[in-house]
Amino acid sequence: MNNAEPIVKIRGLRKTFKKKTAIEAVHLDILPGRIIGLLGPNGCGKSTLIRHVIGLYLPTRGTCVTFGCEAAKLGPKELSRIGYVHQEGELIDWMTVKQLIRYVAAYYPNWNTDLENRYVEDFEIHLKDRVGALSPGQRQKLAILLAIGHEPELLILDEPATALDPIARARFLDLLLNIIQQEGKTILISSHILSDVEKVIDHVVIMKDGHIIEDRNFDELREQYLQVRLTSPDTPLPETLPFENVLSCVRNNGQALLTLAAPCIETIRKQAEEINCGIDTLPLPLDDIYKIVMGAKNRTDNLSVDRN
Amino acid sequence: MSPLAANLKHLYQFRFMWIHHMILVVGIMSLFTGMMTIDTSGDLSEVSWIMFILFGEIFGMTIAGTSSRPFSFCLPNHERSVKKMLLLIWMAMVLLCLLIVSILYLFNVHINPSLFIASICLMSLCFWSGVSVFIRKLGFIPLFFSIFAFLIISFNDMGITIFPAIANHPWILMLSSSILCFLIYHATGSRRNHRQLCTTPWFGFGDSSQSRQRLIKRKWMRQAEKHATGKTDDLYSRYITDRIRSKHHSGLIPHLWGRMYLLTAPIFSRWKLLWIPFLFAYIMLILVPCVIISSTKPGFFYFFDGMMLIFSSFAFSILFTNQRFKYFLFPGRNVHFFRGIVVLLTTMLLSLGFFGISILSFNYLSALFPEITVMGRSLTFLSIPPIMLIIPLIHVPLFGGLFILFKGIVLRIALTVTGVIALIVTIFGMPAMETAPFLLNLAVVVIAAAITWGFHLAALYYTSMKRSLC
Repeated sequence: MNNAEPIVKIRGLRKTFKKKTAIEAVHLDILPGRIIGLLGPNGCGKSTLIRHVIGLYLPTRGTCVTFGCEAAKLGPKELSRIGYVHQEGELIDWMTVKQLIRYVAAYYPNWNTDLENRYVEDFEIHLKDRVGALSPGQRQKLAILLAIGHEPELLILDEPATALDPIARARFLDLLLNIIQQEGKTILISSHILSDVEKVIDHVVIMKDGHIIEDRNFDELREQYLQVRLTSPDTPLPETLPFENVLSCVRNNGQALLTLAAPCIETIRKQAEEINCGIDTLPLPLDDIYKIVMGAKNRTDNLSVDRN
Repeated sequence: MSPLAANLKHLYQFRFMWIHHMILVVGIMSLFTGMMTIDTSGDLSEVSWIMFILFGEIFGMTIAGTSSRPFSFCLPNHERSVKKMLLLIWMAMVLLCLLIVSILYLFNVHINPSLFIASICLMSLCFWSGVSVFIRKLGFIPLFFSIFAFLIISFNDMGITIFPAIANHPWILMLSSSILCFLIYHATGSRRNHRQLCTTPWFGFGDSSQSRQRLIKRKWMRQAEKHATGKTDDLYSRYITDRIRSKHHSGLIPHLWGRMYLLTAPIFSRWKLLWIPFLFAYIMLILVPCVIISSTKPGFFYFFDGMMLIFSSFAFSILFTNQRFKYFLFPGRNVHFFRGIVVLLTTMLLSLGFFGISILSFNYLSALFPEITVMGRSLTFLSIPPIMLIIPLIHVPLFGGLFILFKGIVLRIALTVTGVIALIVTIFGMPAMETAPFLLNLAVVVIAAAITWGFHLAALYYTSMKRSLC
């Protein structure tokens, strides 16, 4: 799969708004079949990057090619292969929900009516309501339906679950998992709710200040970090622990919870045995990985400033 | 603090209360100096009585607006406080009138008692009508209606019969106004009003000068618009979706059908919020130049007509050509450009149709409208000349292009400057065109249209192809 031609190819992308640089020197390949989590703090350039992918924004420098076509020149045929849920939730307020679905469905010959019916039932969407009278959560559900109804090859979700309640979020994740099971679907999902995102993604792109600071397979990234619970039931834990690359350590009554970078399980086990401690290894949640990556970038920045 | 005392505090704590006080003092002074010195024949009564209507209604509205702060209506057991306060103010107003009359009497000014009673009744009726207008959230529309109705009565022979009759038999007005005022007074404190006004976040006159209130109002209006009743035409929706579906093979055509649908369907769904106020404003604006200006100040006829049509073209540009739905079903930049052309063409057809029908119907009306004489001045109905149709033809693309190209403060400046230039050109151009040869007129129109249409298309192309779309 990784040898496949990327469906989105971004090279040296830069976008400025007057004097403010939104994204700088961005290189990114989106391979078919990948579920990519696009993460980063507010204002780091995630939405700007996404808007380049579908051609809403023109790059100040660099290129963005989607489905083999320069994004700015994408036409209806290429764009019909993309489903896009955006933050703004722009829908047509004066229509009823039913009319809006019918209107959007009319544009796509491959509109999946079964999926639509199932989704309408599962998400309790009221077809007779006016779109303008929907709550933000209901609106978001409708926007998701309109984006997935034509079964796009590339689904772009820009903060899709923010307005959803916990139950709707869980259903939305189930829906995403269903979509993922279909061969060849690619999803780019930008979200702040990392606990949700980590259940579905297989690739992580982290942005900060307009730059991509991490772009790798989620499993690979997870292997870079490990959480270790160290227990010493009989004797107190030694003052100095023998482990290397410790990112954090929290001690509590003969226990310590360590977060380690670049861990080697065998070495850690041996080192734990030497100090008569038992260990449990736990995968690090995406939330923590995100914080570490963002923190590491801060440290690197500080170092480079010091050197200068 | 009692509810009444709490409500009275608005009268001196409210930021723009001085406007109310000014209206009160200036209004009463000018009315009484005018009213008390006229005789019962009804001569000169129009001006004074218009003043009464304006003064009474505006004062009633503003007072009701100012005093109806949220807590007046939202706190329990406050139902009666607003109407009590309004009654108190009305009584103060009548007392002030009596005081002024007493002063005038001391200075030996001739006072007609019947006319005095009639004036008080009329003012009270207008005051309580103003209160009712506010409570029912009707805005300034009824005010225009009452002035308009009054003008029609005045400018016909009816005025000459009605005004002296009222002045000579004030008990008729006294009885009818007392009943009406009591009914309005009674209705002001109703639970229904209480419930409705508690949820209204903006109030009267002075609030429009406060940015926070403006913001609240805008949000409220948007919400109200979202919940507005009114049905979209399902048959039309089905027809368009069928057209879109049948043209799947073409990337462009379905989007053009779709954009036309998005432009035209709200005419059915939002007629109450959008079209009735627009039509009302349009008819009122057209009547003033057609009847009054054309007869009294013929030199200003083109100024008012031109202004009205430029304003209407501007309204059409806002309603239609202002590009919306950028993210929704984004079809690519090329189609976005062609959709923009469809928007312009549809807007142009709609505006020309609208203005064409109105000009035709007003031309027809002008033939029926009788020539009337008011204060020795003859008033006729002069309809808008059909040549004025070129105003929307030229201005809709111009304003639309500005909307597409600029944003924020630059847009406001550009629109203002363009509007002023357009008005000057219209004032001097239109009378000249009436006498100029046809071919010359045609050449001027074609060149002007080519420039504004070209500008619109260039703006559309630039924003579609060379600029970020959101």
